Amino acid sequence: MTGNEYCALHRRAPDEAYDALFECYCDYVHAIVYNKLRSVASREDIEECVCDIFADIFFKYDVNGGFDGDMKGYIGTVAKRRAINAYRSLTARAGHFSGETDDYLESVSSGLDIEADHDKEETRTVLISKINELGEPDSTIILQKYYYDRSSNEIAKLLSMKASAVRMRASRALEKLKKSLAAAGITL
Amino acid sequence: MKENREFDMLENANDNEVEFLAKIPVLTKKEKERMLKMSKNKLNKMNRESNIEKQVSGVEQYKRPRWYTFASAAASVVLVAGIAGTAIFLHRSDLTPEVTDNAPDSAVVEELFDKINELNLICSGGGVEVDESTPGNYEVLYDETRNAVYYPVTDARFKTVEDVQDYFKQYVADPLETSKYHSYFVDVFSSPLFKTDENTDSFYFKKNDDAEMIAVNIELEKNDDGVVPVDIKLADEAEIKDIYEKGYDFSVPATVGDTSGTIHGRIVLEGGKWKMSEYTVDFLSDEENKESGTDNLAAYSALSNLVEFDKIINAGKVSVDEDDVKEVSIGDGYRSYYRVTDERFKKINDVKEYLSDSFTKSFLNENSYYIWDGNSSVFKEIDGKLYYTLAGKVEWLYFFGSPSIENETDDSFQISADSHGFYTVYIDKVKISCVKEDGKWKIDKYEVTELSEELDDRSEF
Repeated sequence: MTGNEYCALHRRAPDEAYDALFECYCDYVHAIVYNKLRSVASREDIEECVCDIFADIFFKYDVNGGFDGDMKGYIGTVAKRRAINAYRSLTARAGHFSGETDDYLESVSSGLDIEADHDKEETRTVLISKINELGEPDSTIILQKYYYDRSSNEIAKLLSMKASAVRMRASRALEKLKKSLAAAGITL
Repeated sequence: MKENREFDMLENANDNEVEFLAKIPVLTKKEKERMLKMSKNKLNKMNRESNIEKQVSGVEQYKRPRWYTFASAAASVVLVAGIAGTAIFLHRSDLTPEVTDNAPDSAVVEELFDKINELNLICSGGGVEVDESTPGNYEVLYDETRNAVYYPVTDARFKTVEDVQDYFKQYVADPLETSKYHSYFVDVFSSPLFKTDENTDSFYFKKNDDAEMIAVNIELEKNDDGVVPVDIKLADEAEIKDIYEKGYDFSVPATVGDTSGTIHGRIVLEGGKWKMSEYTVDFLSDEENKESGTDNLAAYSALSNLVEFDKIINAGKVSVDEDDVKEVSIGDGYRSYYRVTDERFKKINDVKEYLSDSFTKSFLNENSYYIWDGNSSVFKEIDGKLYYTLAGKVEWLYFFGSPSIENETDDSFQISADSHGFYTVYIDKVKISCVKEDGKWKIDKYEVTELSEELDDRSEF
């Protein structure tokens, strides 16, 4: 959705504009927040962060600004910042205050970290590639279950499958993935 | 916080990777609607605070969902109710909420059922890390020998059978010796889940690749607000006093396997830890099941009773004293019989009464030779005491999927179902005939109508 589209819709019916923007970017924002907070936040914390982000955008976006570009970049930036704030808040609450600045959390600050981050990025690339090699629906199921931590029942409802079938596919796909990654020198 | 750590390396992904992850369907329509509502509520609040007179239509007062996060380890709420296989009992309860300051909340219930699922998975041959590169082949000491394949345990939690039993005991309120889990650890003439190699002290687990599919999985259902609606009430003091520190009865909607219903159970405080005592599933609470009336209820009950029968008669799941054994002459040889310590059965009459609750007189008469009358029957009374043979015992039946009801009359119906037979990878089609006897639905006949293609002749077994 471009800025102009959003603004035009907002002028006509703000409610519809919020609905449309949310529908368009909800999954994207959720993915950003989840990726940052999955290890420190509960599901409701993650949802609350997503809601904060959209409320922020609804409240602050200048509907008279005349920006015609894709709003994705703007939304992505707001989402990342909010997610980082939430991360700091949650880890501080749990007594794990790191003290890093927003910039540090978003980027790398030392040569050693660059190398480590590069290794992690390579590992992620291989992991995603191996997940894709599993084919559907296994690649989707395995991410829903082991990354997004959804229950078999929830996955079953989303994919119109039986929960028992989801469990079996998830278990077998994970075994297959582990073997495939082990061959590439990666341990899950 | 995530229980599964396998995909931690996907955290802090770059933009392209996040784009990829965003394409995975995760959020349901209800979740999105809920979040949109919350976002608009927050916007209203922000607008009010900034004195801007804009209101978003159709949105109620913002209220954070009353979700419950998992209790910390210090809160020590672990719930485990282990009815393995498809043992389903019918129980109605008029629970009215009566929550006190010390009552467990729904987070306790959620965490408990997570543990239930974990224990059920272990009992089904999964959920334990093993080294599959070096299977150990153990010869089980039946009268008729039977091999079972075990793998070395690499799971840091379990070094010995006692470790596993202690783990179970963290969540099972009743003494393990009389609980439904005891039979999984019996190591005399059966194939228990775990074994220790006496020569090497290595510890082994009987892993089943189909464990995830056959384990009964329980998922608590959430309402539209994302909350697990648990009714909790103080348990009958007379049943708790001098046994447990505290007890609460609860009721919660859930999906058990693939079927929805309501779970009624009891949580007790033992040794300062919350544990599950018992739970039952009421499938009548699900509207779809109710449309079928009594039949579905009776069908699930019948399947449950058949599994229980199979466990007792064919799978050696009766507690015995391994040191009190009688050798009985059978044909040209001898068979070992062990004194029964199972609280359900003191005499053969107890076995008859127990089974006649679920099986017709005709069924029991047809099988009496095998169960208690014959020369090599499963049960025998010797010197006034009840004894039981573990010879020839194999894994019990598993039913899965949804059974179908056929040929219904007022006094009879038939169930068609899929079951695992001797080998868990093979699926048999079975037909169970049920009739009304003495006002109760009972199983009258059981037959395999279609053997798995892989194994047509099991006479050698």
